[in-house]
Amino acid sequence: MLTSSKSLAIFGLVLTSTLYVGCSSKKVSKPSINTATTGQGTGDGTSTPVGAGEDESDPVVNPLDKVEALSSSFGLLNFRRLTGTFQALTGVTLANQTVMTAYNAQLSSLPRDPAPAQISAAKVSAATKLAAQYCDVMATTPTLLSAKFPGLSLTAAPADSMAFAKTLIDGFYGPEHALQGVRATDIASVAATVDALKALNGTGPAIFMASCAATLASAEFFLY
Amino acid sequence: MKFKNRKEEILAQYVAKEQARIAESVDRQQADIRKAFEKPVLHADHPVPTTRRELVGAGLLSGLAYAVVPSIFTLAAQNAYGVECPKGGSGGTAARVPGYLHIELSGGYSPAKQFPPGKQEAGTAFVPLATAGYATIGYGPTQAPGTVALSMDFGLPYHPTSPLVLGMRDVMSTAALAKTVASAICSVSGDDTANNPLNPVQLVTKIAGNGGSLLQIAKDRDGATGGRTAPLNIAQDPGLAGAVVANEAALANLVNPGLLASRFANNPQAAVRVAELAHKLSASKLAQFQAKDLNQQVKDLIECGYIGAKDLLTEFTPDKLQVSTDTQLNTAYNAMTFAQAFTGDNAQAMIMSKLLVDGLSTAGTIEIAGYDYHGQGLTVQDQKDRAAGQVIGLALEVAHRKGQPLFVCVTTDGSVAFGAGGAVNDRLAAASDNGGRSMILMFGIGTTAKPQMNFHQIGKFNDGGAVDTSYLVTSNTAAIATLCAAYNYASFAGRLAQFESLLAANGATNPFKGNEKQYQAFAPKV
Repeated sequence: MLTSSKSLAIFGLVLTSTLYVGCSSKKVSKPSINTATTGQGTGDGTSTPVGAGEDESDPVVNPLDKVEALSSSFGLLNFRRLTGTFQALTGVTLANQTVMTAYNAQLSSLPRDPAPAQISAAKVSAATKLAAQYCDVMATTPTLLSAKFPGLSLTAAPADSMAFAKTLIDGFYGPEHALQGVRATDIASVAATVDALKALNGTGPAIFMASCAATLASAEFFLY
Repeated sequence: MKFKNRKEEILAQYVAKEQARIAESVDRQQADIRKAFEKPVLHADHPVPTTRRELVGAGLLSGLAYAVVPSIFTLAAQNAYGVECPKGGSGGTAARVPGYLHIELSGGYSPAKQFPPGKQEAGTAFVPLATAGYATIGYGPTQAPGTVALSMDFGLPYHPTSPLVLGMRDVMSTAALAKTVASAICSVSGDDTANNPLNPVQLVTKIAGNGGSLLQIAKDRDGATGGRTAPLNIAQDPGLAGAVVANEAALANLVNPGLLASRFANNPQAAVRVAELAHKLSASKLAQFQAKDLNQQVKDLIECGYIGAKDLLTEFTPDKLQVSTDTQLNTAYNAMTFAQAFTGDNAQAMIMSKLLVDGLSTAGTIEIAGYDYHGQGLTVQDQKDRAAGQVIGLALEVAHRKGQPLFVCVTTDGSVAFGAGGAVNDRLAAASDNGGRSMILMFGIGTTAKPQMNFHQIGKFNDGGAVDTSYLVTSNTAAIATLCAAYNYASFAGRLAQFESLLAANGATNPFKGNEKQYQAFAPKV
């Protein structure tokens, strides 16, 4: 076999990636892949019968996979938990046709795996756009808006950005503080965004939708 | 341990057993708790949770204190992965690194039937196997290489009846075919399993270096590589920017800010503000996690997700990304109209190829199921092989039309052995799984001419029609064969130095260095 000590160094490294498939391999020169019944190298044509031993399932967890190594007890909400959370926060359900359409449009980009290392810009973007749809329905449905934010009016752009931001954050975050960012800082961030959106001639419902979408899609809710 | 008497020994055994039982019980309880928290608990007689605390209680949000496992964080902290936010690439044409498209044909098709291998050593003239050997890879005596002349258009000999090559010819122009080369790595792999580490797309993306301006990895499905098969376990990086690009609608959706712009008179600045706010609120939240010792790299990954989302929502428009609005691509492909060509897996190949050659993505993965086709008869098998050829051909044709180089790597989990049943004109049908007859195929298309090649076949088969596993280190281990594919991409792309440095950074040594005559089919681009 044409090889070298350098070859064996890398061989040993990459070999570890295949050990988990369960093929015992005491000799370095043997492959640790599941070919025990393939008759490789013999040319004898013996092989597994039709349909036998087929595994069409997803890959088993590779113990050396980097995503797995970065896993923790913290995680991302998957697509189902995300919609459940948005529904609970806004009162809007998937029975709403526009929300359902948005959900279907974003579904392939929403997380399926809770591993935090699986987060990506595409997933954050999809969650933000889905949240925008929930928030838009909430903003334009007075009963839902008043149920969550009694007294909040969206007939015009918020006159007092800070007060609006406080109402929004207090309403969504709830009374709990222990696991959140600094409440005052978050309210100030929302208020600054509201000011910026007002400068873009945003209407009351549009500003609410945008601020609400950013809040719901933030790690405050996306990450558990 | 020595015991004074039998009673003491029995007592010690009982205590040990009881401790083990308790430990097992605790483990089981913890597992149950984790499982329970995966599911929200929404009772019919309870109001819908609205406050954060109620959400936590219902399992729609999770509390943290119960489940912090220091050992896991310690484990993660010990791995210095050096995650960085992906930066936008050049996107222009200057010094663009060639794209890499990985195609997984799941189930184990027969690459050897398409490109019948010889038993010659690297760099020497083709030496056919014994006739009986070719019978195990699909050809009876009257069709066996040696009796039938193999075609040499791609450098790697192919059988004139190869459905895969016929599929390529269905859709590729003469000019594109003239710029295309093929190479094969003879290597065994496991049959019908996703455990073969056959996808090197993460390593390749890092070899290429300059990220696509939109993505780094365009994916067929969610996961590290976007495919079904396991990733090559070198230079893995979950921080690489990837997205599922199943079709044009998914691609358009990826960059369409939707309501975030339309509610502000289509002003994209509104989407920018929203993305920035989400990032700020997330950073604020993560700062609390940091205080609770959340792994810094996980924190970085999450922040990168929020930073990248802003670019996705604001820097691209769908019409610049789509094949159907690209006048160079929205035309016929030989006898196929655009509408006929642009469907299913073919469409996905064209979308990904465009992303790659336009500098929008660095790499892409397509997984095509249904290649566990043994026992289904020659007609079905030929149709599947031809369909795969069309996918490969369309990807290469798109690159040709855009005047860009492209590297296409085709892998499969295992392969097949052929039998006499169902043969037509001595072309045999695949009868059973046989991963000992597998190969990795590599195709390269140059900008104006064929890429330079040193030789075409890495490894060799034996007279029995199986991979000669005693010849090269790539012959017997899918992981090293996959690494060799990445090595050849690096050579094709002129990035061998990056290949070396990446391996070194991961504590590995280039196993092919000094053995280029056996492993370097694609000559280094200069």
